[in-house]
Amino acid sequence: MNPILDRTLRLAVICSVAALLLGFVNSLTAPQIEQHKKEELQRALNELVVSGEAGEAEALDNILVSARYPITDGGDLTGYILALNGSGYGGEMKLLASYSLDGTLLKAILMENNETPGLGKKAEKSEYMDKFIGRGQEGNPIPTVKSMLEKPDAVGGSTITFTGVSRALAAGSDYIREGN
Amino acid sequence: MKELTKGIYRENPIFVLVLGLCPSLAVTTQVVNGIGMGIGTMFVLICSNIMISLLKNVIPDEIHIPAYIVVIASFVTILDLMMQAYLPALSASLGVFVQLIVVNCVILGRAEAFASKHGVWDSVKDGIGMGIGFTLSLVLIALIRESLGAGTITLFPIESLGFNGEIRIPGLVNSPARVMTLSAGALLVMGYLKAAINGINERKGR
Amino acid sequence: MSYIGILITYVFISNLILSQFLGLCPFIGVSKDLESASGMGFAVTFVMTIASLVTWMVYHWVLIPLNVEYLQTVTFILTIASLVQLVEMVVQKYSPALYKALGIYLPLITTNCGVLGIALININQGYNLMEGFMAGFSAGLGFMLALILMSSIRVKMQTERVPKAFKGIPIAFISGGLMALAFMAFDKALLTNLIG
Repeated sequence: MNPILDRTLRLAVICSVAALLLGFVNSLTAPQIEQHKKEELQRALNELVVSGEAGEAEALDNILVSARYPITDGGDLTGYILALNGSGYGGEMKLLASYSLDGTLLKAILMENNETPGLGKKAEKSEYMDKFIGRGQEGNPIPTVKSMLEKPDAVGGSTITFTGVSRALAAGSDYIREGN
Repeated sequence: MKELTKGIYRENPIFVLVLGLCPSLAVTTQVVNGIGMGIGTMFVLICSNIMISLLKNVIPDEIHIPAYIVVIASFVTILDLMMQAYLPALSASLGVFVQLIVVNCVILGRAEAFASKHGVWDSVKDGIGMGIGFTLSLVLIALIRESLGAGTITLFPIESLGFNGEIRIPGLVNSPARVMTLSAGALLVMGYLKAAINGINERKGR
Repeated sequence: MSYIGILITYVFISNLILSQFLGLCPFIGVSKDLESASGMGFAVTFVMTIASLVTWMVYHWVLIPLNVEYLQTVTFILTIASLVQLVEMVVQKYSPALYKALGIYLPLITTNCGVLGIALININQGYNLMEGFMAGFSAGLGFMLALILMSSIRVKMQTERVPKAFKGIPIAFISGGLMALAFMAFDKALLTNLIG
């Protein structure tokens, strides 16, 4: 046989076997991965709601705020959970944050980020968000530079992570106040 | 036996062969990531060594690189999917570096230098040995970087003992040298460790 | 993000070698003198730019329509390997001088994690075709910059007195670490101040 044809065929056989195998593994793991993502989102939503319950997602056409989940308590709208995009050191970060209707931040969770492991990861610890909580209403904005904090030294992690997180949270607060 | 132990010190992939640096420095900010990455790499290394030593007579020399790469990339994808499905937390913290195991020179290097010339059983032992050496080196680097850089040692949480997986080192945890967790610290740690190993070898040789 | 932003990000702020840990093997291995460092730098920039374009097209025009995104790693690495081979053949045929300069570095690029790394980053960041092209090109430039700086340091180092155990690779790592420390001064805040 022509040596080039022979080599091409062998390589093609190896590739197709590999593709078949991967397809098989994917069909096993895909539902599991989907399940994990759903569970993680649900857990985050439950944690964010202070009282009442979160509704269905509504996708939004906004660069910073990509979706909102209305929070209802006994049928009344009490606030929104927003899916926010912030930019950090290692690229995009996704946050979920709940706000009351006047724009006050109730709770926030960092969902996905590619930050330097260990460093930006500090923002995943729940205490990190404490300094933003309860602010965001008219006249009490969410701090977007470290000097706006009472104890700026207490902020661990990099400035970039801080800026990324705080700007996203502030944008969410602005969105709520402008919308209502 | 020799095939199993050579990877640990004498032919250690990271410190002696200086292969597979990118993942070893990138993920070693926490001990648990080092262990995860080491075991993941070992899995791919063993599987690809087996496949390649089985296929060594089927793959013509001219196309051996693309063929090896396909084999390695398939196992990496399997590992990536499995991790996402069953160990989502670890998969999230290793990020893109799981996929980058493909270009870890240790794996292609062992396929080329060992598995393509030896039998299946020897190749398995080589994979295990190199994998253990790689994992131990990652753990060593991670131990130094995490304890100095964050003042903690993060391991797997054991719920029955009420252990949350994090050991805090008194004194260091409040004033860590954060630079150690950054790229600069990684390169410095690597340089000093390599120098220490050179020094030890030299003393032995004398 | 604007193209200048991407350029500054990948050359300085997220420099592949000094802050993302991608492509360390050639950083240590091929930085012994200026000539080989710049040769490798050019070759990598070239391949990274083309590979960013091609892998973007493969992902968005082939893998997504066929719904087989899980084959990403396999197809990307194969694309890069064949691209390197192709570049090698074309350069050899049409520019023997360039081939002589780049020749020995080209095969090494296949296993350079920087190339696969930037291809995967392009997809993860959701760049469009032009942004991906720009990111690949800038990442290559950043790689070349780090490599050339490193080679100049190492040439100087040869005439310096270095403790015996630190000779060669260890001192290269330590110099790299100090360089990375200097590059930490490039911060995302720079970008915000420059272009808002």
